[in-house]
Amino acid sequence: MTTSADITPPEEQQRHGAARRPVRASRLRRPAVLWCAVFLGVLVLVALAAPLLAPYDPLALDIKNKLASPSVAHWLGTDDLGRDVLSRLIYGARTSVVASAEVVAVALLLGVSVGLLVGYLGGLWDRVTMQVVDALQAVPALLLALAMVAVVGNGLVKAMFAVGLVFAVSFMRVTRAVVLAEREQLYVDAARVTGLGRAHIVFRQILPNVAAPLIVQASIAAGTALLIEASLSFLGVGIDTTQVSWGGMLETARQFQSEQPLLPIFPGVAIAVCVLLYNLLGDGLRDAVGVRDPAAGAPARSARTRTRLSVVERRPAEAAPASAPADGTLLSVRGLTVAAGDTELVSDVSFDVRKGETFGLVGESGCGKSVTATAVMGLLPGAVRVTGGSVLLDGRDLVRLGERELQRIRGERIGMVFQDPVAALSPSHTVGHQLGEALMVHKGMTRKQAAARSAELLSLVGVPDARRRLADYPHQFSGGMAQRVVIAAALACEPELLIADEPTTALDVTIQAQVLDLLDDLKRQLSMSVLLITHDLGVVADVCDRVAVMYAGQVVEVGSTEDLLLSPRHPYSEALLAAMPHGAPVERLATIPGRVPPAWDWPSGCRFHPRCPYAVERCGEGRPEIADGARCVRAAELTLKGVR
Amino acid sequence: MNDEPLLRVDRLSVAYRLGTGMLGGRRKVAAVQDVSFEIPKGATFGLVGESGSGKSTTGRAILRLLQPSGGRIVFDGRDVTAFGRRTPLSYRRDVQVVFQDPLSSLNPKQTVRTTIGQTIRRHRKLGGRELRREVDETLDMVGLSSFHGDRLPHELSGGQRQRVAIARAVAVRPKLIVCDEPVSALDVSTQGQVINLLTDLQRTLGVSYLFIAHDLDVVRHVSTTIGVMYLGRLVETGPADEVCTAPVHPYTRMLLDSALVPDPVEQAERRARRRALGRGGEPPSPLAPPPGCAFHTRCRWASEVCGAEVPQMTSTGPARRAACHHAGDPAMTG
Amino acid sequence: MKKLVVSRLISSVPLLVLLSLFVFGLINLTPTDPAAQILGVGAGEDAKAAYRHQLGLDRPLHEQFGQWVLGALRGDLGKSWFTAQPVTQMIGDRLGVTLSLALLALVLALLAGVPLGILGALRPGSVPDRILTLAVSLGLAVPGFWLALLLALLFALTLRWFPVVGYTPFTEDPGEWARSLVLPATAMAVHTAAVIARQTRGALVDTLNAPYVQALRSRGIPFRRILLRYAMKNAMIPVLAVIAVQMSVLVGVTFVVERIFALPGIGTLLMDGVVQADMPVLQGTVVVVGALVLLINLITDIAYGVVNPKVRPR
Repeated sequence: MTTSADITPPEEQQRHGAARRPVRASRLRRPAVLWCAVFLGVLVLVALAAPLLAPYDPLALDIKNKLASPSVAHWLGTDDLGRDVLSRLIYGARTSVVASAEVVAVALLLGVSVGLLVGYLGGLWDRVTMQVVDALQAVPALLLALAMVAVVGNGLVKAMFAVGLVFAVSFMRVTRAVVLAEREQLYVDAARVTGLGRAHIVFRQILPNVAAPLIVQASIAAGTALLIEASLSFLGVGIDTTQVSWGGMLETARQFQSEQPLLPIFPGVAIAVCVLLYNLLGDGLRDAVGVRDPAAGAPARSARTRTRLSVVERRPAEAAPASAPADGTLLSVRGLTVAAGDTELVSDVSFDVRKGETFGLVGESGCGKSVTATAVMGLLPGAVRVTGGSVLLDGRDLVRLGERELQRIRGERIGMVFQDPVAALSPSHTVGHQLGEALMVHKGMTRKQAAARSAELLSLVGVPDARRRLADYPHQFSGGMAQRVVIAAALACEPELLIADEPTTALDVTIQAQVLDLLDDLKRQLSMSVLLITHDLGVVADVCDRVAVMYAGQVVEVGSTEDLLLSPRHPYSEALLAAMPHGAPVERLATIPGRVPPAWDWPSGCRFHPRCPYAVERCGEGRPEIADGARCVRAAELTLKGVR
Repeated sequence: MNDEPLLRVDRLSVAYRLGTGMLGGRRKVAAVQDVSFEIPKGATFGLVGESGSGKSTTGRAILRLLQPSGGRIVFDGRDVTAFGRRTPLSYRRDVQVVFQDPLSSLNPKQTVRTTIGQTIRRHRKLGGRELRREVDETLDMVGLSSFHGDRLPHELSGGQRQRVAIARAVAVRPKLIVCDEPVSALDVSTQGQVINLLTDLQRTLGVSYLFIAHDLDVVRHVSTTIGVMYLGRLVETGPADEVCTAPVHPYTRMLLDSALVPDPVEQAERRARRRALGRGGEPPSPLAPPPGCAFHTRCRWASEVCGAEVPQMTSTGPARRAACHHAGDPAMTG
Repeated sequence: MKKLVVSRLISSVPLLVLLSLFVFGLINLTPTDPAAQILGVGAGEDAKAAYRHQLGLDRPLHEQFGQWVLGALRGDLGKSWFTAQPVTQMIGDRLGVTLSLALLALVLALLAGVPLGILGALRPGSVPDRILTLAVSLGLAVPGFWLALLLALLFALTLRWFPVVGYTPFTEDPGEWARSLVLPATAMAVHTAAVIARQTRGALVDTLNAPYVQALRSRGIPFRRILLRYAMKNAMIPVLAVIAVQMSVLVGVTFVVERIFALPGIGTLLMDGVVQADMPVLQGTVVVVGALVLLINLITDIAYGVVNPKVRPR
């Protein structure tokens, strides 16, 4: 039996730092973990104090009372030789605890040392060891234990040593995976640069990071070891006659269960409960230490629950606009408020996107610009929902539409482009397959028609050799080419509005320019509108006609690109412009003191006032409204500096 | 004061091995080829390029995190490439690093105080109270308080983390700090703070920087001299302002015209220039670089010679060099 | 695809060599004297030496190993020390039972585990999902052979729906064959089904949260279509990896379950080998089972290559 608890090489997540959650003592105190630990503690105590607890000698024969049902004298009855089942259960705990402990100890000692060594040395050492390990893993642990017993003779210690050997493989894999991942971490490089030695790096820097997954692994291994010990004892190898094992009791039960059906119940329950506790402890620890379980899945809710929540629990807009938006407006966001639980992520956001224009939504990370875009699409995740306002597309409120109606709008009338183009494509489907999907769904095309149109689309977005590339998979595209594919997919049904969420942030400078040019060309060619979300005022200056600046969940300023960049009216816009290095160098860059506050801690009054150089007392009061394009009570008195 | 620069990189080449088969790959990929530049004491050399240009590899070779396959690195009169397997501790004190992502460049399980303290202790035998004072002083230098020392990296903001990384670097009073994209993971408003901190530290400590970044505007702001890299080779060097205002190499021009500025008037001009240059195509894969000038596949002025011969760095003006067959061609500067 | 199969086949050769060397070494490191065991301790030294010579045990180890490998390549795994039957034939007779048991258990586990996993993934945190999580925890903890005992007690001994012991080959009577395997396979399948359900649920939850699912939804593709045509395929990639491991686990479990139902499989052979210290039988069994597991890994690797374009060499 090989444990399947190998953790996936955590490179991917670790590179982004997402999985690098440190252990929190508070999370260890969760009830599930605590209870499991307490019960397992009791198990160990029972094993230690077996002679004190057991009412009878577990080996004492009493043939007259054989196969007795539970009674006052024998709480759980007796077996075929009249031995007390309860006493045997209590002594059996000893065997199981010893077996688990031995396997874990052997596996830890061997697995961790080899894993550390191989992981750090790498190269040929690593490859050869992994080959050996693969060979070893091809043998079921039970088989190896049996072979060991056959060769070196009966005995629990020997059999469990063989099992420990096999388990060492998975400990080694975990250790190696963590070491390999950590070795690539920049902090290891930084430690090398500061002159810290190899030993220091392996033991003081890397080893503590291996500890967490190993504890989890050890807990699961203890449970599996118990199962294997029981199997071996059941087969009659491993234990000798002076030892009592739950597995051995089951073997007795097998022979006499037709006479005494209760016999198999108690040892089986004991095994199952113990393994369950070990497993639950492992799972609990895994959550507590933040090790990613490949089998556990993300804690977030599924896509379907998302829509359900956002459709059902959506509250009707409080201040729906009395009048239809002015002519020439395609998308009108009015007083949009989005909240996660009690926390408002986006408050009272309003802006209009006119037909044929590129409208920029700009702000730093955490200002709510992406949430706004996702809300427009009706694709808000999990517990996040629209609590107020409306999103009017040609006068029709998308907030009030059901999922089915929204599906007809998404792709058909609104397309979307994402920041990470490769992640926005399914890794195991060809690009042609994914491009054609929307065409088949919305336009009712056959696979063949869709493929022909997909090739046209790919050439439209400037992918060379389009027809051939339809058969390629996303990982065969460079970032820039993948973004062209995503744009092509979004434009498949020629939507009137394209929402582009940081479409060039992940790309190189020269490629960014190409993609922006492409977006601009396509906008004209297909006469659509673009809602461009970005943190980069340079992108705004390059392609946007009009722009809204967001700060802490609100639009703080809105206006034409030229006005906003050359003569900003909100202090935050001014500060943002000044902070960007551009043109001839200045002595010192202007900075904004402090940092963007998190959503649960937005200041009262003007949300920018604690960082604003122009703040006066009244800025901290009330709830300033947007007036004349700026959400600032002092907008009229201030003369702010633009980019020139 | 002597004229010897603090760091001299001379025809540096770094090659990676490809493949992970049973016996390892045989193919080698040149990540850096024939790169030469100098950093005087107290100055900043900015290295600009896109992903795959080899700029970070150059930095890592100088940090001795990678073994160069050719060329020399001379630091403070000592041949760094001639060191054995072990790097002398004095070199580890003199050359420090600040990486792009402060979250992964700080050990998540160590407090700020431990991280900085162990660096100081490696080079100076300091005891408990003295060490504590030294760490506090270092934290103060980067604008953090003593209480930040007891925090774990994840308890700090991005900007604060980068300050800690800088504190770790300056704690041992190095002569050179390699800054590998030190601000690109930060928000605009924090970027400025970190850049200002780096310039302040340079003034007070007299440290030199090798400043690696993809953003030409940021590099221009901090650097005295700039080097532009493309596909493993240096294509242009010169004083920061001159390179940015009057680029010689077509790639530098492309980079400049592609960089976006928040000034709508200026940006409209750049845009016009950029579109005049044409689409520009995709950069070739570093695994299969084109023959001749690596840029010729995307260059408007490429001629036959560009596809055949690798252009060498030649002087194009006082303190300026470029690797282009058509450098100084009037058609190009027009 | 051909390239992948060939490269995997080639890479499993050193694994097999290593495995047999390991088993061979283990066996020869121990001071068991088959001659003494078989002929009795009292037998004369000459007789014992002659017997050892007959078995080829007096030759140098490397020669013995070479001999064994050469034989193995021709499909000859030696003869049992006790019954003098060819080991290949002994294994061949019993492999069918073990394999049909393990495969049947796997099929049952997949039929139960995958749909349950999907059910849980569609509404994470819902009541059905919590019940599933609980059931999975139980399924992982309950020993398969205990379950086999209980099933035998209930359905065979008490209700008499199925035979208590014994095995009917498929070629003789497919109906009886199925009847003789249903109980043991069900008992074995529970654990594996729990593992598969858990993995399917986790993988699918992850997949449904992936950016490309959001991207597909942003193009107005209905959820059901995304689930069936995109998410399932991507979610199956990690599930496949688990199936390979589980197959090895199942082969191990058959050894125990065969005993309960008195099925003439590899497990029974192995136990006899262990008890009698019949080295050729033991060695042959271990290597054949190892090769089997490697073969299963190979098949899943190929399936993996079909589903996951990234590992496909081009």
